[in-house]
Amino acid sequence: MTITRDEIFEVVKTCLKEALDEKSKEMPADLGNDTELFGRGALLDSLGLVTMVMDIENRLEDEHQTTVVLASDRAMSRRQSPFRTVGALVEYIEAQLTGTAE
Amino acid sequence: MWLFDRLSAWGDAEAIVYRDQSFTYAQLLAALAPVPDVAAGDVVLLQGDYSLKSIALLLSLLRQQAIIAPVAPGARIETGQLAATSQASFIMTEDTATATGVRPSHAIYDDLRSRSAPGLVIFTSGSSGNPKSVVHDVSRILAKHEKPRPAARTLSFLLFDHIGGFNTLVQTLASGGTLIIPSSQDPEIVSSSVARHKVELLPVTPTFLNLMLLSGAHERHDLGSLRVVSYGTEPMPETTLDRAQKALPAVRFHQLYGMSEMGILKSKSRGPWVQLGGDGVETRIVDGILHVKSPSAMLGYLDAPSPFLEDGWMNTGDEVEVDGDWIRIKGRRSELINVGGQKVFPQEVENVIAQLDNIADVTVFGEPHALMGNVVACRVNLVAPEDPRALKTRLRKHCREHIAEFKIPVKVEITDAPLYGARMKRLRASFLRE
Repeated sequence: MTITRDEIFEVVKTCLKEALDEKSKEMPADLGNDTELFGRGALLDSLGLVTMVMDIENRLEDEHQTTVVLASDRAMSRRQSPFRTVGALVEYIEAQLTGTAE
Repeated sequence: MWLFDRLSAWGDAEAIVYRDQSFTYAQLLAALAPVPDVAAGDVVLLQGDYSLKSIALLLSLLRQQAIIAPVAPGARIETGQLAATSQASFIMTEDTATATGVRPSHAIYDDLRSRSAPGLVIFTSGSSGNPKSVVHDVSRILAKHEKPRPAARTLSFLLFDHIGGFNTLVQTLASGGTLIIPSSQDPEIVSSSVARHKVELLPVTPTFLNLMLLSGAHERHDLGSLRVVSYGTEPMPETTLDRAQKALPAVRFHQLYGMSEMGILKSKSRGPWVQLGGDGVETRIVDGILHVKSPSAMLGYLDAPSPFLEDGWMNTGDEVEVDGDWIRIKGRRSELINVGGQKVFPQEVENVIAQLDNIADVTVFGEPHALMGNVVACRVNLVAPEDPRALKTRLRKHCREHIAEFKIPVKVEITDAPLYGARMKRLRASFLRE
């Protein structure tokens, strides 16, 4: 795997910004691993999440030549949702790419 | 049979123009001949197009009360399989005849023989479901055309194996019109045939109209003879209809409604709205879906259970909107995309995307998705190359202004491959089976 955690974070950030832009929502100034993506009071609704996740998959493929399926039954059945926070999603993507996901 | 008396009556009028060669009714009648070995009730798989010989063979077989299964060149399913499905005793082309040794045995064929009527087997394309074999009593289809209509010079657009093609053939010959057969369904060829042979009635598909407008073929040829363009077989995108009306302001656009199982129903149309009726046809709406009952409906399927409900009603599978006596087809229930429990009709989304610049054609379909059950995806043909990401942003932004968020495609694919099939009909569900 040639992509670093920081690069994954950047991809997530770019895609999140686009998803928010579409809805004319502001990107949080203090975006970090703890920023809540999806859930009560979080940044994205379910369609926004679907759009962002698909965008992340596309960008990883186009810009980093890595294919990963993020929206899967496996992701959905994890005890801790990988879509809850930015940090959880970055970690999940990294685990998928290195094959260390359970 | 009255049809043959009618053909004799038209005498020296022009009956057929096949690839620029003209034939009169007298010549057509002279080409009819008894087909050896074929008895009433025999099933004949007939491969052909609308050449004089093919039409003459078709009519000769009808006269002998045979059951005809027409196959057009380039059919998706191979002949042997179609022959087996239809239990054909003969496989014929305009020049050859092969006996298969098969003795057909099917309750529907028995029914047809007991009526002493010729039959027609139509193989559905299966663009929304499995292919099926539809059996018609031809005398019932002919009955709709017994009352003569004004003779019209009509282009034969739909292929030999299509219920609409058969309908156009019978309607034209029964009214003493002229059937003009182009050498292909290409917009350039069709437009030049219209111009050269002064075609008045042009039955096409919405996909074809879109291709014609894009190609500009209608501007290169004089289509001044056209009076009516009729269209059916798939829902008409609003943008296509608008553009077509502007491009051909003197032409009346007439929406037909038909299906292999029910034949072509008589209709009045007003933009996207239609009224069905006449010829004893009844309609009703059940749970938002159009049901039709018609005296000229098929007898049944050879290879599927009867779809008829009580008293001969048939569920068309088309979801409709109702405004008084008028209905508007929203799309096929089977093509509905369920996004997290909310319904999306591909057609509605296609209409919105088609309004954008640089879109030559678009098809919208659902894809399974772990988060939402399904998501909306689209495939587009572009006029000129464009950056995929820029296209996606622009497309989604435009959709956001016109339709609810759950209907907006989350996936946008660009392709050069045609988005329609051999029947000039948009492909949707079939993408999922690739």
